[in-house]
Amino acid sequence: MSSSLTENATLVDVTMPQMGVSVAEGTIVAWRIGVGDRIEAEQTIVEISTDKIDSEVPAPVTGVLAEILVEPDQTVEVGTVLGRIAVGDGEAAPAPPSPSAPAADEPDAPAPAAAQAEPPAPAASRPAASKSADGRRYSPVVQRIAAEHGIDLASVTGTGRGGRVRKQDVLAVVNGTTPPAEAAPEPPMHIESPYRPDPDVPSRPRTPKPTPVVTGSDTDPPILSRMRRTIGERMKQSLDTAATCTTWIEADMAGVEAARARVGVTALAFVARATVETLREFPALNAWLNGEEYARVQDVNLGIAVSLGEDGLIVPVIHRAQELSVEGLAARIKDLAKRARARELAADEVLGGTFTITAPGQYGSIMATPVINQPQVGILDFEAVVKRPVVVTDHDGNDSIAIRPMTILGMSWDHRALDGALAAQFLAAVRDRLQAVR
Amino acid sequence: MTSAGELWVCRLGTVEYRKALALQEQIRTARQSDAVSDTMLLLEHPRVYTRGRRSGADELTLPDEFYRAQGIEIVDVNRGGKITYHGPGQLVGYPIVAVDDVVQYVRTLERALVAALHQAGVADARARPEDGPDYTGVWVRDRKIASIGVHVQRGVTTHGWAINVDNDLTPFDWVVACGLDGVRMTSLAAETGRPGPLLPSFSGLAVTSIADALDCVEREMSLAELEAATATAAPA
Repeated sequence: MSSSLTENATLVDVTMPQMGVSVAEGTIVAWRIGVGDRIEAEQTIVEISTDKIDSEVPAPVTGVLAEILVEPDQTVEVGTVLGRIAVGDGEAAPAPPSPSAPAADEPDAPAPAAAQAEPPAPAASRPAASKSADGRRYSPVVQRIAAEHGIDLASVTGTGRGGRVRKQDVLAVVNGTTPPAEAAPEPPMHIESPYRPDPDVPSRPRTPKPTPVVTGSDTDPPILSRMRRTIGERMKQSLDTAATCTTWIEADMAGVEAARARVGVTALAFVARATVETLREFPALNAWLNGEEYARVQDVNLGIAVSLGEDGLIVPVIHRAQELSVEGLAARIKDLAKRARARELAADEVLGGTFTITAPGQYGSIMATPVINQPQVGILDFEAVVKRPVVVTDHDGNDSIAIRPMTILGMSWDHRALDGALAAQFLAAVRDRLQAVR
Repeated sequence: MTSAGELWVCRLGTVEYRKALALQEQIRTARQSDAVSDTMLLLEHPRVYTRGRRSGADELTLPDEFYRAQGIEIVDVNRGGKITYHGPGQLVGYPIVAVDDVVQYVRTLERALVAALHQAGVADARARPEDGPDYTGVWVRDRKIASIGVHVQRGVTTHGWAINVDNDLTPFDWVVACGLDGVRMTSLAAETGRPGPLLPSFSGLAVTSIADALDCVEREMSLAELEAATATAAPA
């Protein structure tokens, strides 16, 4: 918390509190008072929400709300200045927020003085920043980077509006490079903070072919969509949680290729069917692992990763997949993929998966190391089917080289739940089922 | 702090929503001044939808007259979050406790309710923090069995959890519960197939499990005892 002297009033920051060790940000729900209204120390000044938990933030001091810097529905980092309270003539020092401190302990700031102090004009869109001894304002992000690297911000040349020190200026000092020399166009106000309202995510997937995106423009800082952020958090969390290993096996898809042409379904449906049957045989892989809690699941609820183009991907779930034939699975996959792309899935259609298949092979890639969809313990990767020369052995034991449609099935599995031998046996059983298709 | 490490448990029977809210706020004030120990109210509500400030107009999918005809009250509550339903047969717990880390606290409540449900025979009950805050609560596969909503003021919680024991689940179908479209609700009775009433026996499991999870010793208190304790902490 910092404070600074403005004419005869001290401005005391109201900051986004740390509500829990795992909480990095919070959302403003509502301000209880408006700019210019008086508030007593310890009274609730603003309500916030973190992870859907609502909390009331008490005023750190008695005074008049001078400015609101973060509006309702905005999400900001812990420590961000939400607003400022103007306190009398500076004699009331900011009190550390203490949950059980009786309000009466707070020295009352003289109200008339506070009222005389001209509150600064409300500046709702101003970035959260605090003024330092050198009179310049720095955003929390800039301050944090500077503190982490022991950089004196007064010595940093700011390339932002009015010489403001931006995040890239400090990073340039950290990296030993100099900030861009050319005068950049005036950046938008929130440029220092990585936390900003999400841009409007296009409701329809755009053209599936990724187009090169020109980045690096100061006026258009690249920002991840909510979906990308969510995917990123989940994937990182999975890699941080699971002991992820990947095992591969080769399968001859000649039988599947012939059958799919005859039945009129995709190879993925055959792989799904073979996987579901094999999961019934190896229930250890049809399971959830939550910390030390390991539960094998009776039904096979098969997740199928569906790409939404540039926006990301989603994993709709085929519940009780063991009850479906190849044709039934093919129809369900087609329906779920279509509705996923139209953003028409119901919540329970993406929940409760016990095992996932990802099949990004239509571009010709042959191997990948998929990330496990937590709390599941395995994910099967099905890539392209490619004609290869392979050694085949006839009934008499004679070897020859033949051209066969081959694929590499990869499975990432959690070494906390099982070992490599089981993963290999599982993959071999899937392969045998696929090779038995006629 | 008086009687550190105790969780005072007060069983209230059926209490109208607004009355229970007022009681929670009264106990919260007392808890903030350490006049009472951590406390949990256990109760059922008459049929009611409570709407939070962020409830969209589209969450009530049918005309108000329909809900009134069903004998369901609609209460607007000064809280965040979305619409939810309470009714007889649903066990509601309002822990009014001092917490440091609200997220950990919510995870603790989830773990406690999951443990109680496992003991009651719902082996598939689990929390799913990995799916994000929208999935706070307890789930049986893709069906929701318990909801959690917490409010914190000066380090002390109000609101809490509600678990479907043997209540009628159809009122959930008449609204977009918790703002999640298409979420199916389930209950202990539906999952175990056991005939009711299940609430009296399950409430014992729930209390023990929550007291354990909060690392407290439970102590049963009557409403009169509780009110006597809070009266000494009435705000000036």
